[in-house]
Amino acid sequence: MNIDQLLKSVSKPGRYTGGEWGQTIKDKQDIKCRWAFCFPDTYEIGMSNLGIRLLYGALNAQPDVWCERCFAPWTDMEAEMRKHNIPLWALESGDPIKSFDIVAFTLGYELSYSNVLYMLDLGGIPLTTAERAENDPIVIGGGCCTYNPEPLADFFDIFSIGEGEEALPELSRLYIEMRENGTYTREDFLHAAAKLGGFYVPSFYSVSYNEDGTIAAVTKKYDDIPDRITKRIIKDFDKSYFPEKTFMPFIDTVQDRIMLEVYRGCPRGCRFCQAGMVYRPIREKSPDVLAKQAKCLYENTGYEEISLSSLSISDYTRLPELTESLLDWTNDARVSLALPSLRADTFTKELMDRISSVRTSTLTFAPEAGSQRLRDVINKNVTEEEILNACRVAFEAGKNQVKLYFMIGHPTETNEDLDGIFELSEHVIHEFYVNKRKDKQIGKPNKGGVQVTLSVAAFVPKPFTAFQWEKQDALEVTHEKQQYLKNVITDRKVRYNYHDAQVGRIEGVFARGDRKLCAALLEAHRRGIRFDAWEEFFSYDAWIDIFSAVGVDPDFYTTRGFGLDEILPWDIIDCGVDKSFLLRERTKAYETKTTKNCMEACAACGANKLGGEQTWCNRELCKHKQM
Amino acid sequence: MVQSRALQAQADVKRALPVAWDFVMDDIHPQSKTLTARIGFYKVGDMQFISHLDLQRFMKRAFVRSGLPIWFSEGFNPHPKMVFSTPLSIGIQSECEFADIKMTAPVTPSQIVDALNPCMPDTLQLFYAAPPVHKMTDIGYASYDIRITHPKNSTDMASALDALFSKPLILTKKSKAGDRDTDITPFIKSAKTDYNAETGIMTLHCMLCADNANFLNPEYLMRGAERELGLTFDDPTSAWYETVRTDIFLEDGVTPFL
Repeated sequence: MNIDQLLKSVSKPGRYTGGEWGQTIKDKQDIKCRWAFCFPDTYEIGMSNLGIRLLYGALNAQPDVWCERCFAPWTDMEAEMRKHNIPLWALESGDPIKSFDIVAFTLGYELSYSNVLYMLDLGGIPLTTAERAENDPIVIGGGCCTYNPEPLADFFDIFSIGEGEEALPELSRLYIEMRENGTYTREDFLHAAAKLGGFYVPSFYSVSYNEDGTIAAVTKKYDDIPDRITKRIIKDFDKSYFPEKTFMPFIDTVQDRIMLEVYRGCPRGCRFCQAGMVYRPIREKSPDVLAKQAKCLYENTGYEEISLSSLSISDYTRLPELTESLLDWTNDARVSLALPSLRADTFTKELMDRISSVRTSTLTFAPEAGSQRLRDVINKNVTEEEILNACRVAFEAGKNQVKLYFMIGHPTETNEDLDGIFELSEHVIHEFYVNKRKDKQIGKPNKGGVQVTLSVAAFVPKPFTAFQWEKQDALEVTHEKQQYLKNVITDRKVRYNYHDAQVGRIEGVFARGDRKLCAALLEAHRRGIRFDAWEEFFSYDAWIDIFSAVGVDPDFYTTRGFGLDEILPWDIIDCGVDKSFLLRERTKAYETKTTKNCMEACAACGANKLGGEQTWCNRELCKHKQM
Repeated sequence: MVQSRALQAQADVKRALPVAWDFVMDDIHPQSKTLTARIGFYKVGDMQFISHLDLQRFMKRAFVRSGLPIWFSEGFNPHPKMVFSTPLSIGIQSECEFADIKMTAPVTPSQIVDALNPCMPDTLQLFYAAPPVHKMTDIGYASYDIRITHPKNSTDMASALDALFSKPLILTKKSKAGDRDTDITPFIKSAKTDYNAETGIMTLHCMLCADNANFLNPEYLMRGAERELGLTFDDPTSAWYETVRTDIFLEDGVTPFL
């Protein structure tokens, strides 16, 4: 078989060759545990994932472990592979993933679930844990979707809950130890893994249901495995594993720059946001550590841009210190700084000056809701005044485009809140012209017209948020709201973009789904469903057909809403934040009461029990509040 | 003496180039304050699937990693200026590529090669660096070896291939001006096929026009062979071919480009 000949006939063959600068090649003779790290989407998307880079490095830091990469082949390559019986292979060695010890998947988005089955099938690995034989690879999943892993429970041997930099190397050690001392059996390994902490073995827990489809009980197979799986965190982020070298794609990828993770977690408590809850407690890295790591990465990659990535970068307490030390050398090295997650209330002229070298003329802010009332309901804690201030700073610096992110479908939303979206954009436009008149008076050059782009998503309730019990808007309601907004927006300076509501509904089903959805995924796979995250492949009608074929009601997971006393599918996971806190937040949302962020006051969310250095958590205060 | 990595690389390719490795290039232009260095490199194996644009981006970052005194353009999007010799399509390997880069300080050829090669994969390595001798526009021809593995391979098939390119061969040629039926043989300076009975491999050695106006992609020869002689390549278990650019020449078709 000549693979090169095949590659000549497919699009973007650089996706399949491997051989990138910075990849890890090891001698198989020295290796006792081989990982195939799979990303259930294309090469270009997967190679942009910071998590894969971190875990690839952390696993390969062990001399007897070799971690390789594998991405979902595009459908033209799939056709060739099926035609010529070529099983899915890992990029570094070219060996089929079926021959690996551990096959890991990053689960970052509900619509990538169908691609997990697609890749297992292409790899010749039995799809379900029940079908896997003694010597088949252990299939493990991780990433933010594993905070509700239940829709995938039948397909994964293990879920890694929380941060993996320490947990996955530990799992490798356990695997090697059991293989070497001859105690390895699939069952015993999974049993031992379930006791390591942070590893959920779904086949060891059986779920029974009430007649109405809600969960009746969860029963453990072994007494010595935990009732709930507590997520793992890196306690001291300064000392956490950091890859000084990283692989650099040859072909163009989505994120092709240095991604410098400044802190984990988020001090804000937006009630719709899953990331803001599940990555708690907040843990910062010191500016001197970050400066050293940035320089090192630059020297090892030659990238021309450093992106300071975190959930809300302007909340980093030592941002001036960090940007100062970066700007010491980045300007001379022609490296630009990007701050992709700016909050309107902390966006200042000083910050703007620091990033004035950025190439884009657009700045993005996320008010999330149109009216102050609704922003208080979702606890966004940003005022219109702050948004307008931020825009003013941008306009004064010569920008003339602003992008605003909103969501529709928040609990308690009315048409007045939707009107607010347009009103706010009109105020932003007004701000621009006020500034333009000022510029004219002092003789600054004219910078033309203004454009406000509204990007409006439909809200999907997610596990481990204050809104985890809420009803998701029905498809028709979302369509009506989208249409309403379209009619309200009458200014040509406002560009209005909205998402396909059908995608949000399928995402919603899986986000709060339970194990009954495994049958739907299996049926979808039989029907050839894959690449759901791609517009050209996503078919709403196909999914509705599949749900009815396997007897699953999508309304059950979306428009029904979940009872406050109901056992939730994701109750098996402990992400640190207490359910009682989420309930308190939900009550406050309906009372239109806001909660202060972690920097101002502790709201006793419970995540501080996990520990962590350089956090915002004031332990004494928390203890007091919990009593 | 430790053999230079560059000399090792040079030994791997067919073209041996007389290079004084420790000659200091210091011909800095008084106005632009830069000097131009011509690098020769090979791009083989998996690198054949990396497009021209992707190669440029990769090399730009390799220059940064190398620490060489590379000149960057001014403005919002500073980038090193690179001029490549002749386009190379995806799926074609090359043992002989050239590019010009600008430097801001004197360097020796060996410094360039030894600094850049560790920053690039084994399939993309420099074998040469020197001040430019010819102009990029002086290029006239490129030679290729097309190594064919096919059940129909034989001495007769080799002769049939040679005969195919000795009389007019009309193919649809794509160009910026649109698709046009063209006789490709005026763009073929020479084409000769060997059949190795031991390995079963046929090698088509050819020299094709490579100047801007008349550039012929070697793929067209294979398309002709497919149509006229039934040399099809839809089963990669038994039939495949690899194309390697072996050298670049001036308009006389004899003098190697330097």
